Amino acid sequence: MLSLDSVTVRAGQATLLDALSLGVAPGEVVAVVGPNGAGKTTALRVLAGETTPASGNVRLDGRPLADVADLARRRAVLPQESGLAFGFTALDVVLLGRTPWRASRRDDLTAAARAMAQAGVEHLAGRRYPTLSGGERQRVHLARALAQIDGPVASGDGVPAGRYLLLDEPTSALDLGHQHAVLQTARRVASEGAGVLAVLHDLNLAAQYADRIAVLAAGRLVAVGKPDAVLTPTVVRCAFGITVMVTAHPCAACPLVVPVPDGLAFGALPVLG
Amino acid sequence: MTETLTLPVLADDTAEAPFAAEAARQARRTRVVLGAFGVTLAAGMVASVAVGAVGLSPAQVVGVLAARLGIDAGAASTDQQAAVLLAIRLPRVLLSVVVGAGLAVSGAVMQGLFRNPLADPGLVGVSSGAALGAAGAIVLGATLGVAGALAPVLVAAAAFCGGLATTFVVYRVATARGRTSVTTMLLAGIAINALCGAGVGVLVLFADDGQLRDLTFWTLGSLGGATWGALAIAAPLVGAAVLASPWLARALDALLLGEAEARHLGIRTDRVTAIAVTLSALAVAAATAVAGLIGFVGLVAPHLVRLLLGPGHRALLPGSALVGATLLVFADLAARTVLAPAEVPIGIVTAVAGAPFFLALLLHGRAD
Repeated sequence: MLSLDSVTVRAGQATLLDALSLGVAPGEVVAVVGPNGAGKTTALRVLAGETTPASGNVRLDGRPLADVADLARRRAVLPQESGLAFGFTALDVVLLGRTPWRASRRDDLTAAARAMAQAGVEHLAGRRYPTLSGGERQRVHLARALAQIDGPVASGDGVPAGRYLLLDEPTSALDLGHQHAVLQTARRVASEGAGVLAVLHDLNLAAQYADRIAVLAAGRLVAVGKPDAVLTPTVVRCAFGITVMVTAHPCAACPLVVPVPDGLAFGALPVLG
Repeated sequence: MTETLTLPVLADDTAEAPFAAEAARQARRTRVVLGAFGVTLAAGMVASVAVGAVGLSPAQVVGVLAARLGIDAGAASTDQQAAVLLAIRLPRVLLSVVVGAGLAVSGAVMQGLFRNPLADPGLVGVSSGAALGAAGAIVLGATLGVAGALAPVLVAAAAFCGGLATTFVVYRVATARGRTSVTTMLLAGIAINALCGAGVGVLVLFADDGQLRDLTFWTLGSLGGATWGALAIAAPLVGAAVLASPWLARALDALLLGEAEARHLGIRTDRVTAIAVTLSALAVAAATAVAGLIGFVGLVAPHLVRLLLGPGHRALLPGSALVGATLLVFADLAARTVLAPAEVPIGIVTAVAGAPFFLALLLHGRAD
């Protein structure tokens, strides 16, 4: 379990996170949603160790992050965007994910190939990174993050230690098809035992792919739980300040959130599900 | 506590690893290119020790060196030729190698650290600090009563200390609560460079004509002062930096992604920054102390290697050392010969040859 325990983050006078508690367990996908400025990215940065909280704790399996051996083999972070100006090939970029491993070249190549297949970027292996489109770059970095946590890390009791993938708005630069492809990859990684925490903007992507959704507003947790329990008109109005209808997804077992146009009476349409 | 296990993933030994052919091709290419760099450097060194007012054939060069080792290689040479080679040419060529390798590797390390192919060690103040130190020694040395053979030693020592002192200040300003900000280091470097420039300006006001001339020549660089003594001072410092740099390769590769990303990959970026700054400051301060300010080598050499071998530091750092050394050996050869018997300051040669070359690279790159 990778978790925030009553974490408060301040920047000057502003409180970015206000006693937030939130965690992700191995095997599950947690989506963090909320309006701009709600503290989603800040929460992810605290989990990533980039931001030190003013108070509260970040723990991995009950231990403070600083005390976790092999942290880089167990937790990978996909940033919103990476400014890489140098002409590495896509394969070289993915191989950078193997930095924490002192494995053989052959094992590194194998892990990189597997990660690139999972992220759907095998065909880009020989391309120079600066020549890739924004969406291709994002998926190459996803492959890099996957390669980083590919491999067994033993915990004290002989059980493989939990691995975690933190995704900061992984779909924001992608077209519709690739948005779903990336989140399908995240689901698959979770089904293989990793804990995935993703900051998302699209409530319906969150509903479709997350086991749990955490709704943040003004640095606090508004609601957390299974998608159909959390994505209610009341919660969405409270967090985002807009009126929505929530119906059943026509073909998937999850809720579908539809904004209601201004001036339309809320009760005038049938609410399904 | 946790125990580290590095188990091979996908344990099928018969299966060829994916991308293995691509990786092997890249490794072969790296070896071939680095080998070619080495051969070019060796050829340049032999040419440079052979050419000059007292001429030697390459066979004679080998003969004299072999004779020193007690081997009779057969090529006869006069005592004068042997003396010129051993006392003048050889230390000068070796010093070119040391200075060129040091400047180029420091350039490559700084470019990795600042994630910018235009960065050079001057950004953290080492060159301007060295210039201030040298100017101080040149202008105030006479006042302090230092003259004769000691004067060049004082200039070198002051340049070395000045370079290290400014780098230390820049580094300290950029380090707060145990974390070093590369951006702050860049900005602090600009401020320190301006301050040192002003300091040099003040010293120029008090300088007499002879001192001005010395100062000008120092800022244009020269390997004319090469002796075995200068080599013995510069070589260990530069050699340590060049030999230690590959140790930073993996960290510098990761740093190209960004500081936060490198930390996520388990790189202790603050430690890496401290080591990288220290190594390149020592190398550049030592090189500048013995040869004055020599521009462009730290920029052109890594750029050339990146074009041929890509940005990975495992090949870039040794490649830059070889190319930087080669560039300076040929630049010094040109400096000694184009206007012989007069000598052109080597900084002029590197700028005249380096700047158009660099522009051509930029235009070529734009066309791709």
